Amino acid sequence: MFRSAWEWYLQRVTGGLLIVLLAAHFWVEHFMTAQLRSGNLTYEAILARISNPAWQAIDIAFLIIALYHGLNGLRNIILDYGRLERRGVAVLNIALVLVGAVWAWWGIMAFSRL
Amino acid sequence: MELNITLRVSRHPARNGKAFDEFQVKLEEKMSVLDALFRVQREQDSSLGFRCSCRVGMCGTCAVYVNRIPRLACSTLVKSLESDVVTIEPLPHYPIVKDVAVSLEPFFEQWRRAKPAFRPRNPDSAELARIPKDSKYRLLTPTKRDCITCGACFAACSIVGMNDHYLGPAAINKAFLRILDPRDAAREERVKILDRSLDGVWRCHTQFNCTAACPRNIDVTDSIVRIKRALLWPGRLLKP
Repeated sequence: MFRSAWEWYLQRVTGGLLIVLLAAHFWVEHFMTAQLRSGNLTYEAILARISNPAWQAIDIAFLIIALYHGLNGLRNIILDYGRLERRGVAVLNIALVLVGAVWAWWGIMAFSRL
Repeated sequence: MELNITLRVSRHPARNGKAFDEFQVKLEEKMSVLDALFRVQREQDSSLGFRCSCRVGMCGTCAVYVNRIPRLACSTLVKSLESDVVTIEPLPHYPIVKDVAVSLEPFFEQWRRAKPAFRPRNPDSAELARIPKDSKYRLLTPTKRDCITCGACFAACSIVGMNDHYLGPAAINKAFLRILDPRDAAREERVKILDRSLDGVWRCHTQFNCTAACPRNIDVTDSIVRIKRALLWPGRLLKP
C-alpha cells in the first residue's frame, strides 16, 4: 500500500471508529452511571471509573483516534486549497505530528495525576 | 408561431461596463447553442468571440458554460435546455481569451504532468499490438478511451477550482488507461504521480461533477476511485 493511500484509509477507519466511540462516550458520560440516574453522582464514582485500566485504555485509544482524524482532516483541508508547495507540505506534516504528539502526551499524562 | 429566445452571452473584456450582452434569437427546431452563437455573430454582433471546430461533438473545442453547466455548444440543442433565457459563459477555471473562448493551457499542463504518452515495454518491437476483445483491459476501458479533451470535467471539478496543483479528472483518467495497458512500461512512474498527497487522486472528493459534465459520458469518477482502490490494494485495478 502506498503512503498517501494509508493516510486516506486510516482517515476512514478512524472516522468509523469515532462514530462508535463518540456514541459510547456520550452514553457512558450521561446515562450509564447508576448514581447519575439516581441523582446522586459523586466525584468518587467518576474517579473509580477513570482509574480502571480498561477504561483508561479505551480513553487513550479514543484520544489518539480523535487526534489522528482531526489533524489529518485539517491537513486534508489545507492540501485541498493547494496553496502549499512540496516544502510547505513537509513543514505542515512535521508541525501536525508535533501538535498531535504533544496533545496525546498531555492527555495521557492526565491519568498519572489520579 | 415564431419563438424567440434570449441569449445572455458573457463578454470579456466587459463592454460599456456590462459583463453580459443580451441577444434575441429566433428559435429553430434543431438549433444548437453553437448555431445560436453563429446567428448572433453573423446578424447582430460580429465581434462576438467563441471557439469551435468540428461542429459534431468530436473535437471538444466548443465547450462552454451553458446555464451554469459545462457543455459542448455544438451538441447541446437549445430546446433541450427548456428555458427562454440561455446564459453562455466561458468555462470556469481557465483564463479567458475573449468573450466565451478560454485557453485550455491549465488543463494541458496537468495532462502533460500525468505522462499521457504511451511508453512501450519494447520500443524496438515491430510486432503489432493485439488486445483480445475479451481481455480485462479491453472490457474495462471501451468508454474511458473516448475523451476528446474538451476540458468540461476540469471546469466542473470543485477541487480544480481551489487547488492549482490538482491533476484534474481527465489527466487522471488518461493515466488510468496507461496504467491498465499491459504493454506500458511507465506504470510505476505514473502510480507515484497519482499517489502524491498534494495533487494526486487523494484530493478527489468523489463528487461526480466530472462524470456529470463529460459530454462523452465517461465515468471519470470511476477511474479515480479505481486508482484509489489499486493504491490501497495493488492488484485490484482490473476487478470490475
